[in-house]
Amino acid sequence: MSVRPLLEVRGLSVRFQGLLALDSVDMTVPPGQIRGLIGPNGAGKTTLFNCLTGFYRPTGGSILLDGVRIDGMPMHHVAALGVARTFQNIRLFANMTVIENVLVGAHRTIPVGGPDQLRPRRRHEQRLAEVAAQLRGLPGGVVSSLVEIAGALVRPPAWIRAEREAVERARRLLEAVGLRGRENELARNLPYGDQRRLELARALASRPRLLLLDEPTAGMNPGETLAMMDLIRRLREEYGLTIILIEHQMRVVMGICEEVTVLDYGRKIAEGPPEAVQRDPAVIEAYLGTKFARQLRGGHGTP
Amino acid sequence: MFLASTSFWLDQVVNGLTIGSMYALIALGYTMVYGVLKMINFAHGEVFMLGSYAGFGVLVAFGGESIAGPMVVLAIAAAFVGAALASASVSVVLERVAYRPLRNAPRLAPLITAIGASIFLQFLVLDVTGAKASFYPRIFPSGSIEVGAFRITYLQLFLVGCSVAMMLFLYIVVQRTAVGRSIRAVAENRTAASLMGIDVDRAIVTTFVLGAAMAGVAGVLWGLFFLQVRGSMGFLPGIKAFTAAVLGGIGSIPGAMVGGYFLGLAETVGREALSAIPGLNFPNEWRDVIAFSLLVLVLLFRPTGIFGELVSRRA
Repeated sequence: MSVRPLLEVRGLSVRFQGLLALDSVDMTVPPGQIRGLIGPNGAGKTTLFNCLTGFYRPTGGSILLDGVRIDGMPMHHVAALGVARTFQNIRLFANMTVIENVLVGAHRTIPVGGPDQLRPRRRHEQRLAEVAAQLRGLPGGVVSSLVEIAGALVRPPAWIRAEREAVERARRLLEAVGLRGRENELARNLPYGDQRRLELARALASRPRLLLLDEPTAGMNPGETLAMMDLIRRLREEYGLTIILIEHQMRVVMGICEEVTVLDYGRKIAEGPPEAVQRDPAVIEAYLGTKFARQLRGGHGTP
Repeated sequence: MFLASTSFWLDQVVNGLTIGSMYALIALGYTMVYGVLKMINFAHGEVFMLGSYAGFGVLVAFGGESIAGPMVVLAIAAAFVGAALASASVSVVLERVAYRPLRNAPRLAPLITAIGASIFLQFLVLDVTGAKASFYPRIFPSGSIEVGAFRITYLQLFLVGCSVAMMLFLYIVVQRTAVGRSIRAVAENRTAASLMGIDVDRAIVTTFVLGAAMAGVAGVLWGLFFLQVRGSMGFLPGIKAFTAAVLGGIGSIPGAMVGGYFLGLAETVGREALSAIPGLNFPNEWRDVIAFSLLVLVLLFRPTGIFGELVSRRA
């Protein structure tokens, strides 16, 4: 019996004016998998990520996260449903501290960011949270803003507790990615490798179910790359994540991905276990060009 | 005049701090909105003016000149709340109808819209009031505290105290709460903030609300001090506060505070200092000349202002 896929992409197309950046791509990712997304430059990998987070509205097809359709939703709603990502070129909040970055990631788990995530222990607190939730549901106006501001200042006990828990969790996440003791440094002052790990902690803070990593090992030396692979595997176990990663280093793809999807010119050209994909002629052709592929095949006897 | 007494100069300093407090409060609105939207909300002076009118309305409802005793405290507190709410509401409507549709337009478009909104609001009020000034009730207890050559009236003390309290409040909201964190995150990187689950529209509205509330309170303080409200009253303080925000470094919250006080002191103490030079006389209007000369100088030599940083950077 097959489990319900965590992510189901059906016939996804994205057209920028004349350019078809994605051409009816199908992709199904079961929960708990680490999926590699590879392809030559301009194949549409990042475009696909941008659709999954809601940054692009696809021109065709649909995206289902655990059975819920998410294409066309505003980004912050998609994030609330459990999609988080990191960027190829790091995009931290450079002028905020390390822990503040993680807390922004945890935004929706803190009452002013989303009281629905809150489990108040006493009845009047529950009532308060409900009223706050209703008020905050009003179309973005004075009232909802005032409730947020007032809530931030008056801080009912349940909210304080939630904030404190968020800080605790942020510390644990920083510890998990190896940034313990750096909480109060400004993000822009961290060395490159640490910024990558902070981005990972920030993404995890939103309690994602689906984590999208855009070249997590870009610019890393072999030692750092190995450590990052370990970290990704460990975080998957620890947080029950499903991970899709864009990667150019074949060693990483072969090392941690259970399945690989290959894009070329916006189309899916291959999918399957890494070893099979690596041998797939269509993939070799896409990466190395037709002529070279023919030569390779020629080695097996047919010119 | 050249050898004026110590007390004269101390008076000027107190006057400068008084006016500077109000500039600083208004400047915060400019700087915060600039921080998140990279746009100058030129209608902010009118938001201040409408706050002043709302406060005036509340005070009249409380009985105007007849307010006395402990009711004074209550009436002024109510005027603050009324002004903050009125200013915030106007600001939110402005954001919604005038600025949000232009969020992704070229930067000049919202700027010009803001100038249009400013003129619209000003002339709307001038039409309704017939361009006549209304007079704030003179309810604040007179008298002053004197320590040696230093003298400050109760009203000035109240005014500076309220402003500092408001700024402290804002500082705590922005730096220490989740709401502030989301505003700073949006100021730094709107897309990344949105990916983190932050509702960008709401964070922007909250920024307008906070800035407008400060301006509303400043409007009441202005009324209590100068005792007049009129439709055109927002223009000069608005543009002075904008100058203060630029002086401090637009986008920087501490910059707006420092810039406000700096400008207040420069135009009061500065003018008197120039007048103290034998043979020269600079009448009161020279305040504005000094203020805007400062603006030109800052733009020429240090366009990023004193603090020259983003709203998101820590104080």
